[in-house]
Amino acid sequence: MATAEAIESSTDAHADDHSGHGDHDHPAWLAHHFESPEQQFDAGKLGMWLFLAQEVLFFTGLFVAYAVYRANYPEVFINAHHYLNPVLGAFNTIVLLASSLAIAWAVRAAQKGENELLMWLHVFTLGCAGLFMGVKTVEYAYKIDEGLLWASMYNPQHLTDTGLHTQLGTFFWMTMTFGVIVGLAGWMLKGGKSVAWGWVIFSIGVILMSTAAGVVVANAIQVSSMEADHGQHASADGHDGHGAAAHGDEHGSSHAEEGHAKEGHADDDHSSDGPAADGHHGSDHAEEALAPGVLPKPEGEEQMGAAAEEAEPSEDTEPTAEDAAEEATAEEPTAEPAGETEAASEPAAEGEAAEEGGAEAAETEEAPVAAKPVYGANEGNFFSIYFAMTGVHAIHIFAGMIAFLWIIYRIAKRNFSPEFYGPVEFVGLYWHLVDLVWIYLFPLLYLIH
Amino acid sequence: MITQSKDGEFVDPYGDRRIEIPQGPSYLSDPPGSTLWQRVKLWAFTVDHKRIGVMYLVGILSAFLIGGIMAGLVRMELWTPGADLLNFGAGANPEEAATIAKDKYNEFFTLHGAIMTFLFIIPSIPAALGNFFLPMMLGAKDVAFPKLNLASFHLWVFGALFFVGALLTTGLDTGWTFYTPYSTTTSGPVIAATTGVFILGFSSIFTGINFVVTVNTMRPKGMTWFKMPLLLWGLYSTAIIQVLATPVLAITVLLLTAEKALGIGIFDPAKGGDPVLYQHFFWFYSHPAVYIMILPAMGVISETIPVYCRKHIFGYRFIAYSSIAIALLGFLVWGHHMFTSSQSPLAVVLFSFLTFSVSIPSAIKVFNWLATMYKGSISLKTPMCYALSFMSLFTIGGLTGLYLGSLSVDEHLHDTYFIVAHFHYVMMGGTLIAFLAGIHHWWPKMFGKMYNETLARIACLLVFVGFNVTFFPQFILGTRGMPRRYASYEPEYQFLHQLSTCGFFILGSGLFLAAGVLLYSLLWGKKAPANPWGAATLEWKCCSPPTHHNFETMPWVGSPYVYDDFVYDPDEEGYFELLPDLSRGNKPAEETVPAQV
Repeated sequence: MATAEAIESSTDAHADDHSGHGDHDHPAWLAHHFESPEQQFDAGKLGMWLFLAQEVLFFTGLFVAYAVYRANYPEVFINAHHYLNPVLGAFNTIVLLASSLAIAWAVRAAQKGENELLMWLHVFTLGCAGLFMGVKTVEYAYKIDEGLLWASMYNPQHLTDTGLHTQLGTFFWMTMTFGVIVGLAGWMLKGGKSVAWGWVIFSIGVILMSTAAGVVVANAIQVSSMEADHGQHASADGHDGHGAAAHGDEHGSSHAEEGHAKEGHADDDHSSDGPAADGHHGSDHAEEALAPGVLPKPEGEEQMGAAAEEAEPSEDTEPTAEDAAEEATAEEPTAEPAGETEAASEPAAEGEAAEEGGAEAAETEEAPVAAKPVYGANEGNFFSIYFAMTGVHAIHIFAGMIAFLWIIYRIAKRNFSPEFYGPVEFVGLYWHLVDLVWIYLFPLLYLIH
Repeated sequence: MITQSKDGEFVDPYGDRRIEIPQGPSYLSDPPGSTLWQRVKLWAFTVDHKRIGVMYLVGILSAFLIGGIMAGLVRMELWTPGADLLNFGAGANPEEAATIAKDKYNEFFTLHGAIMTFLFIIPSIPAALGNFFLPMMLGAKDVAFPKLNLASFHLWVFGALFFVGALLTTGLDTGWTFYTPYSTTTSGPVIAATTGVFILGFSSIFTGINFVVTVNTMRPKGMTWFKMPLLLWGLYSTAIIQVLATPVLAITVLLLTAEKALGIGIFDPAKGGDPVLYQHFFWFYSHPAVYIMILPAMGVISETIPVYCRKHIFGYRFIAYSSIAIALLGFLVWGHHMFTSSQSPLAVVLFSFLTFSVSIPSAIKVFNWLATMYKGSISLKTPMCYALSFMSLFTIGGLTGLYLGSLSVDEHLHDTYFIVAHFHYVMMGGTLIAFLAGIHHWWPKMFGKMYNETLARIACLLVFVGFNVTFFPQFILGTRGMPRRYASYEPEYQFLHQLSTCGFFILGSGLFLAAGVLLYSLLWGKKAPANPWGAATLEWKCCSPPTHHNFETMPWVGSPYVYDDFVYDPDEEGYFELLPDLSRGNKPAEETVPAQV
């Protein structure tokens, strides 16, 4: 290296590594302190892996808190999860998996120098992130509406109409309109003055539009679940009695074995039986643990509570039944998404969605609103942890979006080539981690039994 | 270097073998004609690891000064048995005055602990000295991610402002550990402080990521893992802990913040939470953090001792492995902070056992340093004096740790001054003294000036004596039952407390003298040669102070602890390096190199 020259330029333009020194025998993207592109790539990749290790440890704190509280108050967790709609969770899981696929494909596209494909895959990923956030918005909105908040704010209410749907509608129209405007503006800008900023603004528009779409989809799923519940009530009583009486072995074995093949039926069966069965377990240790059947439910009805309470005294439950049931549900994550998201992705096909989603949501129906603080102080703990985990995860999604916008800017600037695509891969790795965390959150929060 | 032979002829005994170090403009110099504002920007937004290291140095020393003043106020309050000094603004009512004094006392020891831990000790050696010397020891131009390095410093400043600002204005009295449930119920600015800790944590994580990646990917050709200077092993182990432990602190303080702001109840027993879970989370970070503090200090000592003994470090591999062993074992012993916090008896026994196991790698290091000194030609330069202080103080601190690690003894010594003395011996007697050793060792390289050796040694003596007078009486206080964190005490403890306070002033004067000597040298010191101590690590193979790119020519990568080829040049008052004599074959260096002048 020509030393004097290097020193001179480094003193006046030291902040600018890429261009500021006299040694031009290497490509512009190779930072001056690296000796070779390989070294730069390895450094970046190792750095990202370390950052991911750090992220894992960060989430570990939350997972440990989850484990501690689930071990201390299993009944709170088992019952509280009825408030979560697994269809929405599964939908979000599929969305994130699709985005991860796209971003893995994007790395491939970058390696092959297919810039157009690389760009659109990133836009698609941002669309998925937007959908995810839209669904989360709906979930949070329902939680807030029903007063299902963290410990100190936990105040479940039985509400008929709070104007939530109007608000969500307004949110949808505003986001959608704004998204379309921003998207169009970006599209025009990228054809004209500034390609890079045009793409960035267009992508923001895509995020907003897909967020709005996510709100609609999620709301449709949620509403159809609730409607289905009401429809099922008539027959639910009979179901319940049956479930309560014969649940112990039936639930465990039938559900485990039928698994995938009879999915729809299994789910239905399970979900209308489930709470009653839980009722058993609860009543087994009723002395210390408060029957879960009497947990206040947002949409519960009095006679249902009566049915559930009647069901409790029957004592045919064995510990094995619970184990079997748990094993069975452990398989659910693999079985469910396939069927459910089909329904979810077509909210118009209400029939199917209503049946399945409804079946899930029926769980929330079984118990009465009546007895309130049976769980004493611990009731809100589940939602403390729920909001802490999903909230921190959502912040990571948001950070990922910003990182993708940066990548999109650089793609439009033609920064990447088969020789230099490190940042694409590193941000992709980060996105996979965020996805992975959700893969753990989904069963831990939505599929507890 | 020209010498005169016996015959009276002038000869140059080394000929071409002498390695000349090219001079260049210092990294401290700005381009001529730049305005003040440009100069400020060139510093504040630099990506040069050396400037970032110097900025860190200034920052942490400022934090140290604030923390030290707090310590002084705490010690002066303890001059008399009653709580009577810190009663600011109190009326004549003695009870009211005592209450205020006690509250203020709580705030001051909290400030002292929090500032010293989060703002001073944790970043001291890695962020200041490590930033400066880690790339140079690798012969590299910079760390792997210079912008991340700068971001880390900016986060440190931001976090420090948050922290100090909140603490100084409104007063926080939870202790530096923020234990729940008190921290969630007190009206103090816990949220501001924990936000500061969160930000500082990410500063630390970024430094850690940078160091691991730099060491892994940027070692020069010929420098294998076991030819690295031992400071790099220490910094590497530290960086691993920083990356793996700090995020747990981050999520902990995040949950604590949410607890306080929103009442999520995770740590609040009234809402079904578990306050002991907080302690587990906190110590899962904060015990490894103890090793974040001490491992780089051990690395500094491993660097200084062989240089001033002119002897290869003894047991290189053992020292290197013991750093990693300490880093890993450090993750398994957090429970020993909680022997009295209702853990299961089995967990307590296991944690006690694991705690003892940490003493093995620590002792390996101490014995290896001693063995290095054995038959070495020791020159008691200032860094060596500090290194010797380190060894004795760290040994006392380490051995008293064994008392605390044994269960039955800990029941009695828990929360007494014995603990206070123990961790000050390790943290201050260990890390701070090693930091001072490192500063004195590398000062000529960092700023290109020599300091006054005699005065610096006197300062070292004052620090050593003052430290022991301050903290040794606290061991005795602790065994006699004086609990920590009290503003008032029984009169029987007064003599030892007064002794301790006297020691504080000796210690303080020693530190101020050391600072004065160094600052004086900046302005009026002699220009430093490239290698004043004859050290063999790469950072000495460039000019003092280095240029922006560190090395004008790629240095010769030899063993970091072989001093045979370094020859003293009385003209420069420093050493120069000889290329290996290829004609000498396997013969030892002394036979072919003429006797030194």
